[in-house]
Amino acid sequence: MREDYPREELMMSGHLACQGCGGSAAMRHVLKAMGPDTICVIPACCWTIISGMYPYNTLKVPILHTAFETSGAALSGIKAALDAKGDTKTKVMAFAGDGGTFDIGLQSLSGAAERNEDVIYFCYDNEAYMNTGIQRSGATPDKAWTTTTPEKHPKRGPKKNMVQILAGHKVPYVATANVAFPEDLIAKVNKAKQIYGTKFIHILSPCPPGWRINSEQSIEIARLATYTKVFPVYEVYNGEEYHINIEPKEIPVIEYLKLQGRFRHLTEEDVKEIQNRVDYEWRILLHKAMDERFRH
Amino acid sequence: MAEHKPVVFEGEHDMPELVVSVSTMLWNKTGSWRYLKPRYVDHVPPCNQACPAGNDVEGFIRLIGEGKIDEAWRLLKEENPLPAVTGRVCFHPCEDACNRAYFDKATSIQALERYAADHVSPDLEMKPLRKASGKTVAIVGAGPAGLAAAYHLTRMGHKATIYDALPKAGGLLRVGIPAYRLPDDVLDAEVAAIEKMGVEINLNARVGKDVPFEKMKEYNAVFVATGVHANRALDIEGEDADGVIPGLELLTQVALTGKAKVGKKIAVIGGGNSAVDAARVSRRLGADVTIYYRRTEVEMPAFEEEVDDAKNEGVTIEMLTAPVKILVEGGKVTGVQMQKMELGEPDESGRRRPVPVEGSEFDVACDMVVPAIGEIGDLSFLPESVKLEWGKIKIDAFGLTEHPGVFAGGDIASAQQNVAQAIGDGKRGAIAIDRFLQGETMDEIGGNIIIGESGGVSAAQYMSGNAHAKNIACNHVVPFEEMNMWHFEQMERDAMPQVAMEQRMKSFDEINLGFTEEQAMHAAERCFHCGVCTMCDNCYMFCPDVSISHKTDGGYGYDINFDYCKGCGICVKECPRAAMEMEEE
Amino acid sequence: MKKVLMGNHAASWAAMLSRVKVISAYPITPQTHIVEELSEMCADGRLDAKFLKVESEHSAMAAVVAASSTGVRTFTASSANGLALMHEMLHWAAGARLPIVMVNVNRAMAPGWNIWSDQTDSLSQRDTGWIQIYVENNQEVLDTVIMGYRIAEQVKLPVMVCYDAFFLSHTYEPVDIPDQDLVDKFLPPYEPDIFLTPEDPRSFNALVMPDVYMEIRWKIQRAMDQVYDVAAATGREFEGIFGRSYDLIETVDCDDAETVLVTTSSTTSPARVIVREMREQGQKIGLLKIRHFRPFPSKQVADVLRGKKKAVVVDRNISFGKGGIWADEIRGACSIEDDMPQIYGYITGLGGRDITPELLREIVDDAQAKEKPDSLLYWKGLKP
Repeated sequence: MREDYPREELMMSGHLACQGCGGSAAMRHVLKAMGPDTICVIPACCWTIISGMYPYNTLKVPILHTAFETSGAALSGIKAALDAKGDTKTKVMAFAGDGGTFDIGLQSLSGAAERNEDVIYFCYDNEAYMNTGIQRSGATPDKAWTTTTPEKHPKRGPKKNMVQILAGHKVPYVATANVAFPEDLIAKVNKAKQIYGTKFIHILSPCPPGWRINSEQSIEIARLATYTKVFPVYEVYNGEEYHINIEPKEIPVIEYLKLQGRFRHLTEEDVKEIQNRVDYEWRILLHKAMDERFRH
Repeated sequence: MAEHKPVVFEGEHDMPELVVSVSTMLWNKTGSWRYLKPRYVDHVPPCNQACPAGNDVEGFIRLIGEGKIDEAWRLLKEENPLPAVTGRVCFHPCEDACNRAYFDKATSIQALERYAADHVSPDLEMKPLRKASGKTVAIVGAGPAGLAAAYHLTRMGHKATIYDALPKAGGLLRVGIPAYRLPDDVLDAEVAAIEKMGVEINLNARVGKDVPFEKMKEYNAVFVATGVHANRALDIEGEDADGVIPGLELLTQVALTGKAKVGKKIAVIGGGNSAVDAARVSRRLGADVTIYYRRTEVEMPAFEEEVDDAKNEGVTIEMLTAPVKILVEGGKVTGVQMQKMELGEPDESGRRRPVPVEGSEFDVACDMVVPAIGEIGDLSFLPESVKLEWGKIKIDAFGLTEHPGVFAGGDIASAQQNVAQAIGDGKRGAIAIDRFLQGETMDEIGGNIIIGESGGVSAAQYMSGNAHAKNIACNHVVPFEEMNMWHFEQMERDAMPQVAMEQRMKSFDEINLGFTEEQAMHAAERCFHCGVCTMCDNCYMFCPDVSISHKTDGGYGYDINFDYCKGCGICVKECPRAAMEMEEE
Repeated sequence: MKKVLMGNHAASWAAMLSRVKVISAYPITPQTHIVEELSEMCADGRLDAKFLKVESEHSAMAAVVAASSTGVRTFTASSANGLALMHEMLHWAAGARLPIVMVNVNRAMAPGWNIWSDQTDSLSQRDTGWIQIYVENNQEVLDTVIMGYRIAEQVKLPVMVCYDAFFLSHTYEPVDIPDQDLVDKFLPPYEPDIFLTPEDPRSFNALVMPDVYMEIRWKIQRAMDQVYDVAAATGREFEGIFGRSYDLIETVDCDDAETVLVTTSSTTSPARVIVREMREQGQKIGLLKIRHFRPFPSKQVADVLRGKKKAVVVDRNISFGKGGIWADEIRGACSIEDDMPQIYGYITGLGGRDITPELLREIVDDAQAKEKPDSLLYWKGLKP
C-alpha cells in the first residue's frame, strides 16, 4: 500500500470528465495534498464543466469560477481579502488549463507572479484548447494535429516553456509534474504549501479525445512523455536552482509519439527533428541542473 | 447511504440569489457511460503452474516478504511435505518459468523455499485435516513419491504404512543425492515429521522379497512408488571387470556408510545428475576424476549449477566422447577405449543424436570406471494385472493403474524423473486414493484441482472443496507480455553463499549455506507476484473518478463503485501484475 | 471637517471612510490621483486595506470580483479605455451579484487619445448590470461613493459613480468630509451570508443551463427595480445624518416650466446658472438633473416632463448610429406615457470641449426656435 498517498478524498465521483481524463486525475491528487482549508479558482477550461453545472459542486472545497484570462488576478483578489480578514491559514489555488495559463491568461499570471502573490497556481496541461474542441494553444507541441492545425498544416513551433517564463519572474518555486507520478506531485504540493510567494506547478495531463488515444492509455502515455524526455519532471527554486526529480529512460521519442493519433501524420524526418529537439532541451536542462552528465 | 437526487427548481423563488451551488454531483451516476467494466481476478503465476509438486510459490514468497516465516512454511507444507529437500535439490522449473527472468534475473524461489524450511519455528507441526477414516493404505517405497503420498493420505485421515527395501528412508534422496547437497540430518528431520503424524515406515522390507506383494491386499489401497535403482548397463566389453562400479551403487555406498573404496583415476560415463554426483563424491574421496559424455554440455541433463560446481571442484569433463570397450588386465580395469562423437539429427528426446566419428578411437588410462547413464526400475514384484508401458508402470493422469485399488507414481511410473514430480505424483495418488476410498472417481473434480492450465495439483484446492480461496475460478497463467514493467525496477539477484572451494574437498558438509535474513527479504521483494493482487494501490491511486476504494471493513482488496466507474480501463492497464481484467458490461 | 479637495481625492477619502478592505486598480489619466492617494492612505495606516497593484484594468476588476466574493468590501477606479478593457468583468461583477463600488472618471474613448471629459465611456457600459450614478461636484463624489456601498450591499449589485475628467477630477473644491464614526453609523460592516469559505464549500458562477439562466437574469432586473426605493431611502437617511439630501433626480423650477433643460454630471453647474438667468428674463424654463442612469428613473422623469412642451437634453456623449444616450433613454421612458413633451437631443462638449452657460443658452434657443424635432440628434458647437 502507498503510505505517502493521502487517503482523504476532496473530489467526489459523478463529475463530467471524459473517461481517462488526465485533468481529473490531477485535481484529485492536488486536492489531497492541499487539504480542505483551500479555496480554488477555476478559469474557463475543461474543469469549468468537469466541476459540475449550477447548482452543483463536485469538490469539497469552494470554487470561484472566473473569466478565462483572470486566474492570476482572481488569486490575488482572494488572497488579499483573506489577508484583510486576518486569515493566514486558508490556502488559495488556481486550477487552470493551458489556454488560461500560456495564452490568454498569461498576463494576469505574470502580474501575480511579479507581485509574488502567496498563492499556488496549478496548470493542468492537455496541450490544446480542449474544452472548446481541441484547438491549438501555446502549449500544443510542435507538429501536433489539432482542429485548428489540421494534418496538412500541423502546429509549427515548440511549446512555450512556462517554467522558464515563471522562473524568469524569480518566484520561489516552479515545477513540472505528471499525472503518471502522483507521489511526486503530492510531494511538490506539500512543498509548495510551505513556501511563501508564488508557486507554479505545471502538470502534464493527457486528454484521450484530444490526443487521439484510448482512455486506458492516459497514464501510460503521460509516463512515456517523461521517460522519453519530452516532458521532463523537475523543479526550480527562486528561478535559479534546478533539480531533476524523475530520471528518464533511454527510450526514443517515437515510442511516445506512435501511440497518439494526433501525431500519426509525422514522417521519419519529423520524428528525427523532434528527437533532436528533445535531446537538445534535455542537455540544456542537465546544464541548468548542474548535472555532470551535461559534460558527456 | 442517502440517495443522491438532482436538484429541481420550481422557479425563481427557490433559486438562491447568487449563482452558487447547493448540492454535489453525486446524483450523476456516471457508471451509465460504461461499456466495459473492470474486475479483480487473480490469475495463475507461471511459477505456480511450473511447480510439479503444486506449491503455491507466489503465496509463500509473499509471506516471507511480510516476515511471516512460519506461515510461509505452513503454506508450503499444505502441498509439499519436503520443502527442506526441494529447497535444496529441486531442478527449479519455477525459476525457469519465472517472468522476472525476462526483465533481469529470475526470482530466487528455491533459495527462499529453503529459507522458510530452515527458519521455521522449531516445534511447528502439520496435523491431519480430517478425523480418522478407518481406512488403510499401503505404500511401497519411502522415496519422495511414497513419503508425499503417505503425508497427504494422513492429512486426509487415512492410515498409511510404508515398506522400503533400504535401511534408511528417503529413496534416491538418501542414496542418490550426496550429503553435500542434501545433508542427512535435514532429510531425517523431514522424514521424522511425517512419521510423527502417524505414518508407519518399515525399513529393510523389500516388497516381493522380504514382504510378499500379497500382503498389500490386506490394505484398502496400495500406492507403488519404488523408484528406479537398477543401473542401466553400458553393454560394452569389460563391463563386468573388477573396478567397474555403477554410479548409483557408488553413491549408495557413500550415503549409507560414509565412505567407499575408489581408485586413483576414475572415468565416469554419463551426463546426468548421477554421473556428476558420482564424480564429485569421488573427488572428495581423493580421486582424479574425468566425466565422459557423448554429447555436449548444452545437452547434459545434469543441473547447470552442479556441472559448474563439479568443474570448480576439479572434475574434468570431456564432451562428445563415448566408451567402446573397457580395457582389462588380470581382471582389473586399466583403462577405457573411447571414441569421439559428433552431433547428428535430433532423436525422440529432441536432442541431437551422437554419431561416432570413424577412426577416432583412443585409449584413456584409469583404474575405475563408473557407468552412470541412467537407472531403470525393478518391476518383477508386480502382479500381471498391473500393466506396464515403456518399462514403467502404466498410469493415468492421477496415478490409477489398470488394477483397481493399485496406484503408482514417481520414477517407477512417470516419464518425468525428478523429485518435484515424484512429490506431485504422491499427492495425486493420495487424492485419487481418497476418492477411491469414498467410492468416487477423479472424473468430476480432476480438472478443478489442476493449477493453471497444465500444472501440478493443489491439495488445498482439493480439500477446500472447490476453487482455491484466492482464485476466482480462473486458471489463466500470466505470460510476461501481460505484465506492466513500468512499475518495476531492476534488482540484483542474490547470490547463494557457498563454502569456499578449499574447504569443500575436505568433507561431505553442505556446500550451499542458505540465504541470510537480509538476502531472503531482498530476494522476496524481487517476486513480481504475477497475477495476484498485492494491494499496491495503483488502481486506487490512478482512478480519475474516485471509484476505487479500500474495503471499508479493512479486508483485503478494493471495492469498485460501479455507480460511477466510467470504464476508462486505467486501473486494469496500470495494474503491474495482471490481477485485473476488463469485461463487457 | 472641510477640506479643499480635487474630485479624485474626494473619491479616495470616500473609499477610506467606507473602510474598504481590498482595492485593486490600474492607473490611467485622469484617475491616477485616486489610487495614488489611496496608496498613501494604506501605507501610513489610515486605511487598513490591501491594495493590489495589478497589471491591467481587466485584472483589477477580476481581482476585486474575487475579493468581494470572499466577503470583503472592495473598491476600484478607472476611466475610458481602462473601463472599456474591464467590460467583460463589469458583466461578471453584476452577474455575480457583488456589491462593488467603483468610480469612473468620464473621459473620451480613443482613438485619438483624448484625456478630457466625455461620458461615452461609462454610458457604453450601460447593459452590464451596474447601477450608474452621475455626479455634479466633488462633495457629491464623496457622498455618492459612501451611499453607493449602502445601496450596493442591500440590493447586491455593483455601483459605478461617474464624474467628469478634469472638470471635477482635477479641480479643487471645498468638500465637507464627514466624521468616521458618523460614516460608521451610516454604513455598517459588510457581512454577506454566502461567500468563499472552506467552511461552506460552494461553487460560484458555474455553468448555467438554459432552463435556469433566464430566472437568474430576472433576479438581477428585480434587484435593479429595488434600487428606486432603496436609493431614495438611502438619500433620505444620508440627509438625516449628514445634512445633504439626494434622490435619483433633482429638479429646479420645473413645476410651471414649459421647457425643461435636462443635464447630467458637471454640465448641471453651468445649467443652473443659465436657467436662473433665463427665468429672470421671463422664460418658463426649468432644470432637470438626472443622477441615476441605471436604473433609469423612467417614472420620475416622465412625471417631471408631463405636460411640458419641450425637453432639451444635453448629451456629452454619442451612440453612433442613434444619437445622444441620455436623450435616447428619456425618449424610451416617455414612449409609454401620455402627455409627453417634444424631446430635443443635443450632442456637445465631446472630448472635453467646454460647455459654458452661453453654449447652453444657444442650445435652448435652438430648440425653442424649432416647431418640432426633425432629427433625433443635433450637434452644437461643431466646427463643420
